[in-house]
Amino acid sequence: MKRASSSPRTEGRTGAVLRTLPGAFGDDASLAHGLAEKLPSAAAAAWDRFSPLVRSLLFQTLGPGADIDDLLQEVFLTLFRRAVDLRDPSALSGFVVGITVRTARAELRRRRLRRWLSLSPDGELPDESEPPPDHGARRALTRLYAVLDRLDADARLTFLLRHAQGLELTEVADALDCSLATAKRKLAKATERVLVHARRDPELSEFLSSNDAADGGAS
Amino acid sequence: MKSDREIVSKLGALVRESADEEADVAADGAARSRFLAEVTGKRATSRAPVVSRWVATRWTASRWAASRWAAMGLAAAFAAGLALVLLFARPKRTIDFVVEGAPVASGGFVLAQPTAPATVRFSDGSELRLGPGSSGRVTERRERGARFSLERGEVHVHVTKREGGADYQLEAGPYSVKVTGTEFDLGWDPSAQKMHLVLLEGSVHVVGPETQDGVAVRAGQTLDVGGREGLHLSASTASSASAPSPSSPHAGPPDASGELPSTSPSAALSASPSSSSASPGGRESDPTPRKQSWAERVAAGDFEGVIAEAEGRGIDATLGSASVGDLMALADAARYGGKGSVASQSLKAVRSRFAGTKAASTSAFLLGRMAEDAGNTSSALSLYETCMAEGSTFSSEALGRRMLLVKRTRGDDAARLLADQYLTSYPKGPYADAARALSKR
Repeated sequence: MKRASSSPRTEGRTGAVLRTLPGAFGDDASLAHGLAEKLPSAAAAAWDRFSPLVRSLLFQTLGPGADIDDLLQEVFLTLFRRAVDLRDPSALSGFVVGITVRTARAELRRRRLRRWLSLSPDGELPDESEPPPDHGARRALTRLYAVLDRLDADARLTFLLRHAQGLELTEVADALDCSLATAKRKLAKATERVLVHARRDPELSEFLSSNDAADGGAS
Repeated sequence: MKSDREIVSKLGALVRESADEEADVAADGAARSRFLAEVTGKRATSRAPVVSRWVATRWTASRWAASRWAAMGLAAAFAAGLALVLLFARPKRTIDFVVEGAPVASGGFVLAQPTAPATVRFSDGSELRLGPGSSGRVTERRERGARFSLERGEVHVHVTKREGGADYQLEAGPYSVKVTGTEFDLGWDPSAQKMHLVLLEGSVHVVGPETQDGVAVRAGQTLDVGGREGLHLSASTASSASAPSPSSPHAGPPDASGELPSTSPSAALSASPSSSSASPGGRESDPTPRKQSWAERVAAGDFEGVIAEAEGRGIDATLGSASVGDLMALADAARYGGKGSVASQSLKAVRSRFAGTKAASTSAFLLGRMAEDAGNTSSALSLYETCMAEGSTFSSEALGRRMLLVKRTRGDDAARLLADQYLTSYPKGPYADAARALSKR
């Protein structure tokens, strides 16, 4: 089941903080107007409403162990500064997703450049530490992101926005600032490449097989 | 092995679950505070260059390079137009705020948790930090500040200085603290109806039942007001080292550096009743009688005693360090006791040290009376005009005295304009008969 991008998962998170704010920002449109007016209370409301979504998007697109604190700040500062450019205030959620995706894309490109320049000793990202051997899912996750690292930034984002974040294809196209047809083409290509590499990867195959067994036992 | 669709679905689920585990919700508060601090201008925007670079790269290739000179001309025209709009047509906007560490209910009510502080952060960089368990309400947002009513507990106030002055007002029970840019601690105990103020930087003006004319509190001073004790303004740090004020019950002995020991509002308000040195309430059980203030001694006719005590401290030291109440009392004692020079110096000290207060404008009137009595007419007229310009409570008297002085020195015709002005402003004032007599001639 796909999840709607405009529904931040604040309520579902354990320990989420609910705040009542002085301004009336009950919907995206009023919040967008508040942000365009540069109201700090609107900034606080935007953080409370969208930070779970933005965090989730950044973690999903950048992978485990990523230090997203600065990127999170960058997304919200950009939102605060550029909300005045938003033509349709009711489309605030999509605007936030777009900013987040562009921020993630820029970070992925910086990573690729660092890797190309071999700024890290082994050419690997320093924050991708080896997980403990007894965590099968964690190892599978690391291998999956190793596969995703082989894709270009747009292909990676297309795959994750659709299959992990659960965006509709039209939303993926909006977030990547491309046409629906282009988004479909990129998704098909990215999915095919991920499947090929996943099946070739022993640890990912093992993970998927073990899941097969578990699923078989459960059903 | 499953189908492609099932594999992709499982990989997607793997990513989602991982992201949920990675998301450190506990750290969200710090990240939120960091963002809000950036937005409200409390901290330099360290990421701004990155954002600017990102925005710049999006615009640079397609537009700027196409017609650089045209773009520059347009930008200059736009900037000039924008400056004009900002200068002349900028709509007035009230200040905004956010609350960290506590929920804020409708109406701006803020209640800090029993074990943690809460911060009200304003868009101009000013902030109010409520102590644990304290509560208050943002009752008004203004263009250059806000009004905050402290309902219980303590609050640390930091008002950012700005060109033209900030416009903040802190209220605690019946007391009002006018702030234009300063830092202080304010405590309010509603059950005892006591307010405690420790001024750390700048100056504030406090108005209340015991201070209807207002009292200025300066950096290093402590004001206790309310309860059964009336008003007590401690000596400033400088004076306390050499001559502790009789009206500073909260100010302990200075330490080796000459600094007053810090006294938090909560400490002062919650001190045990048996602690005679810390709480005004404690003085009820204090076996030693409370020393009378200078104002009380002047009211009792002890002019010479007050003057002698001031001379014992050193007149210059007293003028430089005594509270506004003590200075006004000393001026009264000196005037009544025939020490015109000391009275004049005291009133001038009030005007220089507590400029802008009602006591300062009252001093202008009293100095004018002294100048008039001494036959210095021009000086008296000037001081009366100053008194009126400052909106003193003695404005009607000042205008009446001016009218009589002008009549005496320049004749009826010159005084008639002032008489008409007096009758318009104070038709039932004490100089109304004299004014009517002049006006009819």
